[in-house]
Amino acid sequence: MLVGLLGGMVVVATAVGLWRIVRRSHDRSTVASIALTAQVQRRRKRLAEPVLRLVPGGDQFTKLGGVPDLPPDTSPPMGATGPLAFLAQVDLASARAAGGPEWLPSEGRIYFFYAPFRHGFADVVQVVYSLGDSGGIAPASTLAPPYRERRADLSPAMSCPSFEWLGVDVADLARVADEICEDEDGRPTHKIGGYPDELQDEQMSLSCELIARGLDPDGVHETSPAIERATRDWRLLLQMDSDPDLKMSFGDGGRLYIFVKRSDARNGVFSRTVAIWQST
Amino acid sequence: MLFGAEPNASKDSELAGTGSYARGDDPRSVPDSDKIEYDRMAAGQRSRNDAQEHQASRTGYWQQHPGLGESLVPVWGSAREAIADAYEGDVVGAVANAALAATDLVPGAFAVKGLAKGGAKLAGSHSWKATRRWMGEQGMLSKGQHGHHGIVPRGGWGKHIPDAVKNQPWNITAMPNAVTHGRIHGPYKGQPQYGQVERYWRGAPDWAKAAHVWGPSGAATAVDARQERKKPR
Repeated sequence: MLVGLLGGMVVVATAVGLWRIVRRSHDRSTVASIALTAQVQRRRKRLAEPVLRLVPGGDQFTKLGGVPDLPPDTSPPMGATGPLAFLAQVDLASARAAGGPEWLPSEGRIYFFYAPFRHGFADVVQVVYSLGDSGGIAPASTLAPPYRERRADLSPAMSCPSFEWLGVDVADLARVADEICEDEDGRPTHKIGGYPDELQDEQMSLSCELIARGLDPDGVHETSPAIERATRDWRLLLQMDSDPDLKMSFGDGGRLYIFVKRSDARNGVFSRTVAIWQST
Repeated sequence: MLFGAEPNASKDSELAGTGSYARGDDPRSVPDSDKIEYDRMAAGQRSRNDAQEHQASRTGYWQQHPGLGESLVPVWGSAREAIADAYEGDVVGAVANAALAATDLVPGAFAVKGLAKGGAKLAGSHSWKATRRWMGEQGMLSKGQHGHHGIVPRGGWGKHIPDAVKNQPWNITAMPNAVTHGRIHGPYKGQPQYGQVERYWRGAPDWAKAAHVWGPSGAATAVDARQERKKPR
């Protein structure tokens, strides 16, 4: 009798689960979900922005890894055990000339440094903006670089916001072709501008705004209209991907996303950036 | 018979028919002082033999102890062993095996839940992005919930494993929160990374955790059943 009861429980649980799957599949093809999907897709196309992919090649200033070419009077940010790990440097004049975002300054250089012990904090990546000429290696950079150096070309494309960026629950949408612009090709994706390629379901523009206000994005928050308006000002400054060729690994195939407010970037203010780390 | 002596024909005829080869069928001439005791013993043994034959003819499926393979089946093996023990009056064995069957039920709930929600993504792109969204649509990941590659990593040596294999529900663990996921990979929000054992346990999919319980439980049932089958009835 005991065995019969157990077998019955297994059959019932399986039947209930299958019924839920079939019901959910049916719900997703309702008229409302199809209309919502079309509306979201139109909004994604409308919000498309230029993006610059950092691809191998060139002998420009812009590069990934290696040692930073800082001006003589500029030192890299320091952590508890020494200088932070150098990630990348970008020449902003070249970026604007290549068709980069209009909110980037038209001159100067920006440098990105990584603090692996600061995951979960906004300063896991720190940004240094300089208008001075790079005069070679800064005196503080005496440690061996953790990442291989690779010069980068700036390849323009168009980028659309993801469902996650817009805060849309995919469960409410009908089945739809996933990408309408800028698809991932399986290779490491390092880019400037555009929208992030999220590894987890997180509305990062909202996270940035909450962090900037001193709130924990991992907690539960009521969002006000003011917060929702402010989220629209955040832009992706740089996305760095785990890249075996550069010996870069941020968790399990993880990524680093550095965001800046559009208004701050236009004024050359990069001291209030928010960096988010994601992994799988 | 002595060499050269003639056979004694009269003695042979006297011994014939006494119940032994020497006496033939004739009854023994000396009283058998052990006869009563012997007859009582023989009658008792015949009675026990009859009882055993009767019992063996009545033994059914549920009264037999399960074989090795059946003992290893979660819940079923332990339950059958408990029933066989109960038939034999082995109260301790019956209670212990029933408890094993009950503990097998807990991880079984995880496995059933996983199967009920859908086992594998068969169609469409197997990129992590597409798989994560599909799992969200199927209800395997809630809105905002992190998915963690619990057995085969997405990067590292996992890069050599096809996406269609590693980006599947069997390999993805739904994380309770971002802090737990973060601490699996390293220090997160000032809290240290989990130790190696805790990293594996927190990151392992539910079916893997169930296997950790079913393995030892099934082995214990198999050993008990083997010992029971060896016992003389």
